[in-house]
Amino acid sequence: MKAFFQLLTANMKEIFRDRMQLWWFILFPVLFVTGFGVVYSGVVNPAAGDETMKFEVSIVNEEEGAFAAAITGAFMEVPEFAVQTRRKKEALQEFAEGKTGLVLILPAELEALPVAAGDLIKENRKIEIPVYCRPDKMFLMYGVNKILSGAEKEVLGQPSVMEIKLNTAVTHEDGLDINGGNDTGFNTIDYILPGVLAMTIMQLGLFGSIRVLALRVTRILKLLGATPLPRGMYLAGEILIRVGLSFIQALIVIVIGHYWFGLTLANNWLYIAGWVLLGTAAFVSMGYMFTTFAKTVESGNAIMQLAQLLMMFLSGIFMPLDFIPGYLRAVMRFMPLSYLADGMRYAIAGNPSLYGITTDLAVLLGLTILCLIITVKRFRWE
Amino acid sequence: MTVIEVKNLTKKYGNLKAVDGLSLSVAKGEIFGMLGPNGAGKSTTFEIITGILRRDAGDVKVLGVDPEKQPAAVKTRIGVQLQAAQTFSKLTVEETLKLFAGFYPNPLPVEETMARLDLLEKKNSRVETLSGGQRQRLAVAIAIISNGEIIFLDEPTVGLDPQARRNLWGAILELKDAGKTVFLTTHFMEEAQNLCDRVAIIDYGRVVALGTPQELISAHFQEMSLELVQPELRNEPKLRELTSVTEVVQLNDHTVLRTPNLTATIQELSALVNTLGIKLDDFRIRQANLEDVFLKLTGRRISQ
Ligand SMILES: Nc1ncnc2c1ncn2[C@@H]1O[C@H](COP(=O)(O)OP(=O)(O)OP(=O)(O)O)[C@@H](O)[C@H]1O
Ligand SMILES: [Mg+2]
Repeated sequence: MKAFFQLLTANMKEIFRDRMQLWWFILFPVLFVTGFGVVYSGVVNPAAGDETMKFEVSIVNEEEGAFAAAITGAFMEVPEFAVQTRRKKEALQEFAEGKTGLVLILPAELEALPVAAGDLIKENRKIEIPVYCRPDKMFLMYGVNKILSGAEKEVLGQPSVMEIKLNTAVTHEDGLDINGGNDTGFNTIDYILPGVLAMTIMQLGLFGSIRVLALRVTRILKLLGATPLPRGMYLAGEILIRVGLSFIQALIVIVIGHYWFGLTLANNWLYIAGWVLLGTAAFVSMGYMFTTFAKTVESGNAIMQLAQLLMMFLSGIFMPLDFIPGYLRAVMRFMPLSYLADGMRYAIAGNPSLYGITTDLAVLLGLTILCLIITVKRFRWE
Repeated sequence: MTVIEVKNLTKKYGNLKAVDGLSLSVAKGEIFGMLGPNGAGKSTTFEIITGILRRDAGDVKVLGVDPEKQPAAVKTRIGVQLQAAQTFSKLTVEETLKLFAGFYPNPLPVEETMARLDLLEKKNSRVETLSGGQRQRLAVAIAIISNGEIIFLDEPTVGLDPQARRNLWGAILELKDAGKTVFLTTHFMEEAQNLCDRVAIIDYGRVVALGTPQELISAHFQEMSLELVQPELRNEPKLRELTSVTEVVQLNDHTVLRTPNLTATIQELSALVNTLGIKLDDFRIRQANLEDVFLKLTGRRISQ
């Protein structure tokens, strides 16, 4: 184990002392997100209302009761709010599409409140009021809070049984059927930046694997094979570093994207990390598979370049879907990167999936397994 | 006690028999050398013994263990320097040695190893900045730091200047003094002759002669060698008529006369050059060496 960590550190030193590697794997993603962020953040965001100082608010009354009507009324009285009532599904769909910045869901339970309040307090239970608010509309929450507690006080005399459950995006848990090619009106940043992350993960996987070729040509792998170190341990270390770098890349893209360009974060970090891991697994194994077809670093490089160019331009990651012609969409289906980008858009920004999340998962897992099998069959240490 | 035992080892690459029924054994505490020309099969044999390559046939035992069946058991107890293997280029000398030391159960101290191979000065230099000779010494240092019972060196002195080569020989002799066994390959005749306790001369994957350098030489030559470098005497047929000369070997740049009676040969030679009308102004007298043995056995020279 000690030897493993030493090898890991040695490997890390090799990478971090090499300017080119740093440039490729850290700086490059930074430039890419910033570049695309700047280009696309100005173009599209159909979320309306900012200029007129009116904010679109959708209210969902799960039961058309008196209490809900009172709250809706209170919202309507605020001149800055343009209130519309919607069904839950529509409201969330519009929210996901960026048409509204704030959705308030008043659950059916509320209607029982004046009577049931006493029981609730006794049982120390609260009624959850789901509110969806885009990160850039957070300041509205102050008003929402105030109105809700005001209404509660008026009816019950004390504000204590309602609890706001704040969401910044629609997630897969909302049971929304956002699958099915409805691709208009989405926030372009939310489309592009997860694709950029998918691309950097692909590049890391492909080009990172070339190192093993260099080590074979310089016979370092053979030398390691002459030591008691189990041979696979070296590769395990390499892969671990690659995974670490992927997480760093993801963090870079998401943090810059979110705080500078308003990238939506629809899911928790763990869920996103899972996708990053899956993408890394797929493209690292793809990279290793390609190295088994190359004898030198140069030929390895050529193969990776070709693969990356094909995927970069034929996976539709640089263009909002609206601009992509039909024939390219057909080609996209054959590019593994399309599926990672699709999954990433869903995982990070909650964008609807083009191919279906299960398809994305299946393709990436299948790719990983296929590449691993070929690699294990063909891999030579020297 | 035998620490390496190789019997009828064979390794094929396609139709080429890189190693062809090779047998040898090495005793504990000796410096054993495999001497042979390029492509003789030294490295192939070396890598099979050290558990890196698989063999096609034959038996190999290192420290009583088959390196192919139990590679880990062998590899923890030996140190290896491979021909033309590099190390991580961005690490410093010290970091590299620490890294490799970490792979072994009972390594030598890093500082001491660097001192033994004159690497202290370069301790904090990155490997990519080292000269060829320094890298070669680092490679040997990696083998030594294992503190293994057998140290395997594949052409350890390639690329070293004569001074550095002598220093490295010193370091190898120190290993022997410390009770280690050293197994090395070389195509330098002097190295085999001066450093090794026993030598196996290898050609086309076979052992063509095996013994102490002195044994090998005296088994094949009772004679002294007299080398003539004058171009006028190249291919001179009359040289073969000298009665005291037992053999004449014409090489590219010089002619070798073998003789059991040096005085008689020099007298005959003076008479000959007189009749040819040239002056004898450059010749060397030496004992036969391993190069001569190789030449006699194979008809070719080891180097070039
Ligand atoms: N991987 C391989 N594939 C095919 N042939 C090989 C391979 N490795 C070695 N050979 C051949 O086997 C023969 C023996 O090679 P080997 O490297 O053992 O020679 P050597 O005695 O170490 O030579 P040198 O002094 O040049 O290092 C050579 O003819 C070489 O071309
Ligand atoms: Mg060799």
